Amino acid sequence: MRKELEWIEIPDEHEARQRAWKVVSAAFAEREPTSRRRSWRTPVLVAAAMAVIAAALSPPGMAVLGEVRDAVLPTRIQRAQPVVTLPAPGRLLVVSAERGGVWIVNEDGSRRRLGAFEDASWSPFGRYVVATTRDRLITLDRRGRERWSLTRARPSWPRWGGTRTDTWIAYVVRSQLRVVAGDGTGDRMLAERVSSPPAWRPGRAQVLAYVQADRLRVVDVNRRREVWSRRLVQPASALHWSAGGRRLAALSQTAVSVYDGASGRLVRRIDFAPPAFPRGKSVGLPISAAFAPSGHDLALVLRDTRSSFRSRIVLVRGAAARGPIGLFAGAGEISDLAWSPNGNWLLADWRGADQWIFLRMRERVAGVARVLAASGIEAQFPRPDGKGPLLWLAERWRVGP
Amino acid sequence: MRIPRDERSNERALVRGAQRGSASDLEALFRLHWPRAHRAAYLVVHDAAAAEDIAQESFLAAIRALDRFDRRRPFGPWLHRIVVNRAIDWTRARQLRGEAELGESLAAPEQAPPLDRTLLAAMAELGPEQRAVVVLRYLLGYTPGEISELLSLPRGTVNSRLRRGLDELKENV
Repeated sequence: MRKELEWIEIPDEHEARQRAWKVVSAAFAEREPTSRRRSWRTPVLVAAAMAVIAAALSPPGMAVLGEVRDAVLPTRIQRAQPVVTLPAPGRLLVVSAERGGVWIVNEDGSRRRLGAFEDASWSPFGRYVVATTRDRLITLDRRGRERWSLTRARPSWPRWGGTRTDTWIAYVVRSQLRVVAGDGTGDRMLAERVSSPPAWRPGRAQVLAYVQADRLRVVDVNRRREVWSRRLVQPASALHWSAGGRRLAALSQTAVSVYDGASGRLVRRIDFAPPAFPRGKSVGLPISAAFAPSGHDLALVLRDTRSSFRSRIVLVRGAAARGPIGLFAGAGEISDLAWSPNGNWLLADWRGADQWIFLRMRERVAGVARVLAASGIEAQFPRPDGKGPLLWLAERWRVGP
Repeated sequence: MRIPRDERSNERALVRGAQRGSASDLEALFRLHWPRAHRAAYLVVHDAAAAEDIAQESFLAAIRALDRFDRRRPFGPWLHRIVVNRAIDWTRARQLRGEAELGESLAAPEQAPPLDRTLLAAMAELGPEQRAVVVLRYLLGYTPGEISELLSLPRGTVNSRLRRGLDELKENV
């Protein structure tokens, strides 16, 4: 029996081993020695004993008992019924727009609603979240506990970037781009007339890309100098850095332009409007994008120009000069994309079908691509007003410690 | 599962080395344990891509917990526990998700090697928990008592799953 089990052939076994070793050795190289977890029992016992004594001594002691219990004893967390389980490790930050709330979805499908925020994004290593309300910029830990906040009128597009030792948050207040250090200090204005969300260059604490009027600018925030800038033919609606910061993609209404992150040289431009495409042929216009977590592959959502009720997901290979490769097409709106941190899956919010679809992005077995679908998404992230959520996922699937 | 003394002390040394940051010791641990971890996952989930993910993520989980690992205990059972439990969870989750397959969404890869349909097909007829018990017993060589500890199951449950699993395999092979 044992021999027979050992003789069963596993497709792709050798390549799987090589791929796994690359991932495991990279993770090992990056690991930080973890400190031993401190036991909560000792402080709990001491605090409980003190509370009992206080309760015995005086009537206000009962209040003390309550306070000690609230402050020290571990909280029993009510976990939502897991429905959407993630096919790869990590946590997903889901923003249900218009004060529908910000949620963290764990790998096992359990969810935590952080609060009624309007937008949010992860800190660079997924330990914290920065969120906005109508009048505040707030940083929170993953349990939803506030760390610090700034009062600002209608802050939007909060984006947190940096290294383990130096992080910055960029956000926009009435088209004014501002930056603040990760500990809430040093808040200042950086630029005016900013029309789309800024994007931090990964791994570089101080380098920020943003669109100001008709220019794409990349600046060193600490040194207060411009690294490079380029004039845009069309205004860009979104900016995305590749994981290593070597490429910057700018989405405009009909094209995607990819720049070299260091020099600003235009590496590639993909035009989705005629004449790049044959006349009469259906054209998809770029709606959202996400770079793969390694390399320069870029996934895009395209909306059909002839029928706004059809969307496609395509992959633009970073190394090849070929056109986009079709991954998925469906009726209705597909709004947003998020790669799993290990690059194996691409999540798309298929709003038109009230589904999340997970596209397997690694090579197929037996020539078949796989899609996992989770349905009934609106019901899983309910809004207080009962309307369907407008979910945002872009680049918000992170592995946290 | 009986581990020879030399092998055990060698493994301890590798774990100690990896805890101190030695990449070569980690590689040796990987070489030692990957084949069986991967195979165990595959035999439980019957999906090569998922098995790769599960084995890979189990190694990553092991690395994340390496500093807390008690070196007096063998590494293999610790890893196998993670692999098999994840494989069972994955199989259950797939059943809940109602997985769909698309034929032409991505470019087709090279022809995949043919599968051994006989025993694999028979294994596929078993439930994930039964498959896990069979794999732990007959591939990885754990005793029913050890399996009951690894899966946190009563020993009687392990024995009955093994017996029923073997009966079904005999019928189907």
